[in-house]
Amino acid sequence: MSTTPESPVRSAAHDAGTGFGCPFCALACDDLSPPADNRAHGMDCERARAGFTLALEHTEATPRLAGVAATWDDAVAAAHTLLRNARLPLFHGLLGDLGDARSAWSLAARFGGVVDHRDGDAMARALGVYQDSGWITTSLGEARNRADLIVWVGEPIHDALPRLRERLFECRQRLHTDAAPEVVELGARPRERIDHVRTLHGGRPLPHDDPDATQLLEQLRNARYAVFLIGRLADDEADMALRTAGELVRELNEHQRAALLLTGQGPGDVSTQLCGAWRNGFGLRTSLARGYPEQDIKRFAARRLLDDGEADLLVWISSLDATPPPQTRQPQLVFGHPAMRFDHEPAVYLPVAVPGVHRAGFIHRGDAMRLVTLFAVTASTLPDLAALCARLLDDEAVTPC
Amino acid sequence: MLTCLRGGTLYDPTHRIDGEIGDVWFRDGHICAPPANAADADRVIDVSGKVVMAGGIDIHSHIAGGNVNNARVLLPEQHLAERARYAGQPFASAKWSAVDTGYRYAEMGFTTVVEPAVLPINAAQAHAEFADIPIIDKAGLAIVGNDDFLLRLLRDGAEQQRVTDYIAWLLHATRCLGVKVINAGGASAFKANVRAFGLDDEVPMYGVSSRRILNAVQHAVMQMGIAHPVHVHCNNLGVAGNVSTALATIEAADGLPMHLAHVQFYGYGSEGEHGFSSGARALADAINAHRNITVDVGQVLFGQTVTISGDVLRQFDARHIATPRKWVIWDAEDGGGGVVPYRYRARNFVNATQWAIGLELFLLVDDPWRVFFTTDHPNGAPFTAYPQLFRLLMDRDYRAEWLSRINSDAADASLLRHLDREYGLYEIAVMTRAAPARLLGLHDRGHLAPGAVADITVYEENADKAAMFAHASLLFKDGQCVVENGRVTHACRGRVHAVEPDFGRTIEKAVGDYFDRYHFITPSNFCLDTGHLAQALGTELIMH
Ligand SMILES: [Zn+2]
Repeated sequence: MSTTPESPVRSAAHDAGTGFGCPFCALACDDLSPPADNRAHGMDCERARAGFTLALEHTEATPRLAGVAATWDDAVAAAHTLLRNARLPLFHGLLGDLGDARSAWSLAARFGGVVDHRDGDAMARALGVYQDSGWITTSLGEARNRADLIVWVGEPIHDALPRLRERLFECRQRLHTDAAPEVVELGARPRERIDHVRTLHGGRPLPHDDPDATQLLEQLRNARYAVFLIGRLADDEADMALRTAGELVRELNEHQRAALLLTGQGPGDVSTQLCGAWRNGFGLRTSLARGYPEQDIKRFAARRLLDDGEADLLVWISSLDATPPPQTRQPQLVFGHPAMRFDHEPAVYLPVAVPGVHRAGFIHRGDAMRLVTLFAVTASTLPDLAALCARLLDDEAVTPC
Repeated sequence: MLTCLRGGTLYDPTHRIDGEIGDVWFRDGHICAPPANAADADRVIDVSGKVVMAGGIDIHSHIAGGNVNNARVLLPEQHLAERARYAGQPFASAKWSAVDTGYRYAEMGFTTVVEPAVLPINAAQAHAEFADIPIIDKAGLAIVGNDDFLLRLLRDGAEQQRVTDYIAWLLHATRCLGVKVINAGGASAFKANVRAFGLDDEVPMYGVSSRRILNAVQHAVMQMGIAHPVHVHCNNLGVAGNVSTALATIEAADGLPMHLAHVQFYGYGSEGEHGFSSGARALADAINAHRNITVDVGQVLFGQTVTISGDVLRQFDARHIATPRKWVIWDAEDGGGGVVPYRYRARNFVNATQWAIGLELFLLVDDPWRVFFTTDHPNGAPFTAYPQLFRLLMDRDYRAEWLSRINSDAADASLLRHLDREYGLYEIAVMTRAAPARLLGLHDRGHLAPGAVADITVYEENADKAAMFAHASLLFKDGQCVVENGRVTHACRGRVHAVEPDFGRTIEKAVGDYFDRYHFITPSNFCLDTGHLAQALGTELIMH
């Protein structure tokens, strides 16, 4: 019996030097200079630099049981006991890649749990709009090449997507023009403006003058390919803003082209949702406790399950982000970034390989149009969550504590 | 392990075996010759009185990729589960999931299914979904014809060899088995606000017609030397009078191999008081007369379904008929698509006529080697409705019963009353086994001779052909028993089939420069690596 798990990764650094994906934001860029000598100094993006640096500095770690260093066998056995004894485990966080999402869904199916992402509230909101009416969307690549007008619905998200400006707005090598797109920012509370544009577009009068809306409609009507980029929205109007923008886009398309561009909420959200959809038919906030999937985007919200105590175990999965899970009454089983530090040590902490740094993988771009290939760029002794998951799914392979 | 299936009634059209009683032997994963000593068998399974065929092959079924997944998420109400059909088998009780797809195909005796619309930018997700579909083997067809790189080559008058090199490169990049053209140029035109696009219309900005694109791709596929001819979704899908488009496309094939997908959706005349009529006779005549043409039908069956297509222009046009009233349209690199839910109603004249046209085509095309059994899942009907379609083809009384239930104007106008033909088991084996294997170049399947993979279906004879084909009595996949009495008993992983045609390496530099200039992704990340697919997804690729 091994005392450390088999390392699935021995330096498999991608030789070409380009084309390795960065998993640390929804753009999933693959054109950054590769880390050299295990350092990420040359990377032209602050999020990439920070993400790669932290992972490159933590290529090994030890599991802990309530803060006490443990062997891998003991830690896996303890994790298994927690999962087996849980009435309703909540698989949450999901700041990881497609492989991590697949593991989460497999564990949820085996141990009868619910899966929700850290950004589940925003994701569920978008899902609700989508399931009510559908929408017209475009991709990052098409927006880059075709948009002549970009309307930023919500607050700009430069911190979340540091290279968006460079890669989308300032790009001049475009399919049929060398002009950069016009960009209009509507701010965090865009609902009324969009509503007014819709009203005017429908030939109806406004309750009061809104010259900005008149001007925006004019710009939209002159655009050949208008893109409504969905940014960060105030909670109390996010749902309506998204619905209204979606309706306006449909109406514009009766005579011209326009589309929404959704860039996702954060690392792992799209992979969790899409992989969940092809695995259980629905996606996030689905319970597998009864042996078949049941989705309920309100009832199976992580916050509610934790606050009401309906979930009795928090399984936090975060291979890409070293931020620890929120404090909960429930015991915690954490599959975490090797640099994760806790104020309150979880019952079980199993450090896992960071996808795209310590191991190969795939992650969805925020527009859901591309699974970007991730390569291992350094050697590491950290286990892939999938390898731990395989042991946890196989009762025979776990030594009882 | 050496197994003998003893005394079955065999249907193996590849070897002209038509209902002979015989044994099928297989050792581990492959069919083998009978051993010198029959007592060497490790296991003998008596299948006397049962029908034995190779595992079924579906050449056109939308089982994976972004658009399919979008549809799942859009329509949760269409696949609510209320019980655990397969207790303890992860996701097997999740309807319309990847696992359910593998299980349901296996239950019906199918072992290989082709996803016909892999948009190259989305190829990795198609492979990720394939990896989660158990039991059956999978393959994708890569969509070309709306790719800016290709349109530029054509606009600039590039040599055919250049086009061929590019498409060969794309097949490597996407790990697909063949090439699909969807309304060539239509998605690109839609991005420039064009709303209707015919065979001789030109794509704005390029001055290249749909016909020219189709012709270049068809020749590229032939020049590469891959088995499957270009797989064509014609212009004007679903439009009354579009049979003329199908006929023009058949002519445009110029005697060279071409597969026309879901031709039922192109079998439409524009006669009669509804302005909608069957064009099946003219289309079938043309198919019969052009031996270079193969078709699959895309049969409509009544009930709720959802249309999923890379023909974004057509899907946008269909938005008004969405049932329920919600729909999705998306643009993406080198293509696009749409999801429009729809309910085919037996009492509706147009729907009933569509239903009849599909059956007319099945019955009027005389060569079962050139007409394939599909519903264009889920566009005409979900593949889970196949048993009903088998019965409609094999049982004219059942057809007559349906004719009395559908819209009476449609029934009166239909040729079906005059078509007595019934498909027999041999023809069914041609259409769902031997012919698809040949058309796809998968020579190791679709038949029962030594050397073939031991993908073998055993059906219980039944006068009710729907019941017979709904549940395989036994199914072996690569020699392992995976279904007994219509229930999955063992879920192995399937494999994925692809081709690797040679290409002139200079195209890589040109594509590389192009990607650097215009793409959101680098070519080295865009190209799927077999080792990486194996590591990240567990994909086992078989190259042909
Ligand atoms: Zn199709």
